[in-house]
Amino acid sequence: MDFSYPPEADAFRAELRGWLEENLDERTRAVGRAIQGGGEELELRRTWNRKLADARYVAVAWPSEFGGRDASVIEQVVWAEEMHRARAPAALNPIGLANIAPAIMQYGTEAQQRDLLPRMLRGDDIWCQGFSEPGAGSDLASLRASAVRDGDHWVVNGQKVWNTLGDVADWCELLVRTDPDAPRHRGISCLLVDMKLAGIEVRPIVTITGDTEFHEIFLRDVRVPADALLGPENQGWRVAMSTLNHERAGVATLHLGVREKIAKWIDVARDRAAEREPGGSIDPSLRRSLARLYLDGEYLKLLGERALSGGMHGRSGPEGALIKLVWSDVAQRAAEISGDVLGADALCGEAGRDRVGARSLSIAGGTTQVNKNVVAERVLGLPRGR
Amino acid sequence: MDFEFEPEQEQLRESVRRFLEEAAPIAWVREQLETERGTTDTVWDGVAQLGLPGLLVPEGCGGAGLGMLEMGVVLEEMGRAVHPGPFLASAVGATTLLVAGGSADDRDALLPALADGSRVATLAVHEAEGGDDWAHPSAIAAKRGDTWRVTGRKVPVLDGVGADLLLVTACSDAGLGLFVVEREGAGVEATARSTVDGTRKEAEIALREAPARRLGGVDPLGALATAADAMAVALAADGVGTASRALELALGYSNEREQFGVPIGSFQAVKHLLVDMLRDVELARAGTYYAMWAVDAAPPSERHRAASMAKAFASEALPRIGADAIQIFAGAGYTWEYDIHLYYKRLLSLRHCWGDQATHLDELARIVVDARATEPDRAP
Repeated sequence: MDFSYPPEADAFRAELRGWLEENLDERTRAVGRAIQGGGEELELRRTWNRKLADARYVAVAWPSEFGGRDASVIEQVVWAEEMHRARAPAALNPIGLANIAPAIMQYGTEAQQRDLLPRMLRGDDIWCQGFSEPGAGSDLASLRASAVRDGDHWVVNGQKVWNTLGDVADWCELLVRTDPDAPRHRGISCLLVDMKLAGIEVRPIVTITGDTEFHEIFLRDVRVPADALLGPENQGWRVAMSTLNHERAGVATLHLGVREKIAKWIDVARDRAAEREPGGSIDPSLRRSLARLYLDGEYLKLLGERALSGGMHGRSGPEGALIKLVWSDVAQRAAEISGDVLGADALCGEAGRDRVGARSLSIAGGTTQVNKNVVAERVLGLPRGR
Repeated sequence: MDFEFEPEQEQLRESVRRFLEEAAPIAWVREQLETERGTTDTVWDGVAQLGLPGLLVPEGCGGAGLGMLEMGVVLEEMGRAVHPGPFLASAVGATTLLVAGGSADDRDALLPALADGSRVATLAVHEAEGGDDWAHPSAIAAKRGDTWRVTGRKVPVLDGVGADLLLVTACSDAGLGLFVVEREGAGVEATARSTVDGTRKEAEIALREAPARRLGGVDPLGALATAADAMAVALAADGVGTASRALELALGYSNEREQFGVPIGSFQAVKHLLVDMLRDVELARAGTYYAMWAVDAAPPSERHRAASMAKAFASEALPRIGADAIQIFAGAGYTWEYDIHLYYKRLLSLRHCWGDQATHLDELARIVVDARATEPDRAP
């Protein structure tokens, strides 16, 4: 057991930190992490994205032939830590880089790889996914959007929902049913769809925060060129689930944002106590709750590190499957503690928005309940059932 | 980033597990529930022959000179086997305090017998009035001629009846001191405290002018802090073993027990409970393993932070795993005949041993809430 970093990782950290200090200006830093809307902010982001891409700092886990660095797992962790530390805005294609590109690398034709990946990496094109449907949420394989072959084209009809970045996306990784008679998972294909095609309409979904984080996509007789098919016909399920073999750092660095929030609330609680009376101390029960939350943040980190270590050393453990559950729980409580720190003020402004917005964490990307079923069956080996 | 055990550590785990399965199976454990000592000569000799009591004893004093990573592996196995007996109290608590708080003479005089298992020692530092404030004992020590005499009451004392030596905290004119008292000596009265957990023996110790040897280390408070952290981590490791086994048993029962014509493990309500248990076991495991490493390799402040977190988490989460395991066994789990209650009870007593979650969370708050946390750039 050894928690130190190897010298190569330290060297990579120093190099990246130096680069960020030279290249990240305050104006860019100020755009923050959320990618929404268009306009000037989007252009600042795009410029930043290109700068990162030119220095090969956008997708360090990608193979070098596609503009990545073949970074080791530890280097991916270092990258996430340093980007977080510098408060650097994210690249424009969080979903594309992590979830769509691996499928294109594995199943894409040479033309698809050549035409799509470099532009995705540089942020020239923004990508979204068209997976969920009004009737296919947790049960994604019941999706009904259809594609029917007509000469050189697929004719696509259907409705997709919960599309992150749907409003600004240039391309969509779309799951459609191409064989209605096949068993559920086997009749699905994956299309790479240009969002400018006729018949595509994007409508915002206003969420419980009042913001439009997500969109719906309506597809009416959209004629998609035949060469938009990614991977074999009717194997879209497998294609869409591909991930980079060694891309493991993602879930293991989820703790960065949560621990930052927790540290912030600890500071705010201390400051408010001092404001009430000089040298005043935090209410004992809040003080204990903050310590408990701090502990949970630290343990999320340790669980992630144990998952990483298992992967690096060929030990298969249950940690990786549990991180999403732990993360969503801790992150929600980190949002809720504002109510104890700020009192009624926590209903206002950013704190109020975050508190409400945190409900999505146990829903998006698989609800906690579905996730528990999966862990119960795949990790604990319990019988499928009710 | 290496969160894995070395092959030698895995071999140690294997040999301890095999020994306990053969020499101290659950039927043997049940025989020890009502005894005051919690072990038998045969089993204790076997533990000694494996070299386990001397793991933390320096090589120069007859031990193996190993660390908490190895000790944690052993304790996890003992927790798994709900193993009773004075091992943890002697091989971790007393040994750590002697190493950290004894002079060279003290170590040479006392540690070899602990290392080979011929004598057993325990810490007698808690007092009824003081709770977990072990740094300020009300027991007093005074010198009469050449001999120190200690007077006070200590409770709870782990394995206080079965131990040969008591390591006692007391205040004298010179401040806090650490004293060694013979359990069978004059002025010592040990009374067993019967608790619901028959696998962890506790006693109340009354000392009246008991003759004592004063340990010659220069920093008794620092030595106590070292021993307290070691105990916190050791107990957490013991708890991880017990809780993992309770989860395994509950999982086995969920697959085997049928109601409404199907295994109860196919019901979502049961599945989700088991996943919650798995989550907490794995969080406790990650935190405890890290704390074991920190005891061996990190600076004292980080060791203390890790130990406080490990025991705070273990104290809160692990008893719940025992309770949930009983829930899954349902009616069977409420009987004396099924073993699952032994695990639950051991996890219950774990909570109160060397600081419960409130104690450790308040200590953690002192470290990370009261002072502006200077974010350690790369503390894991």
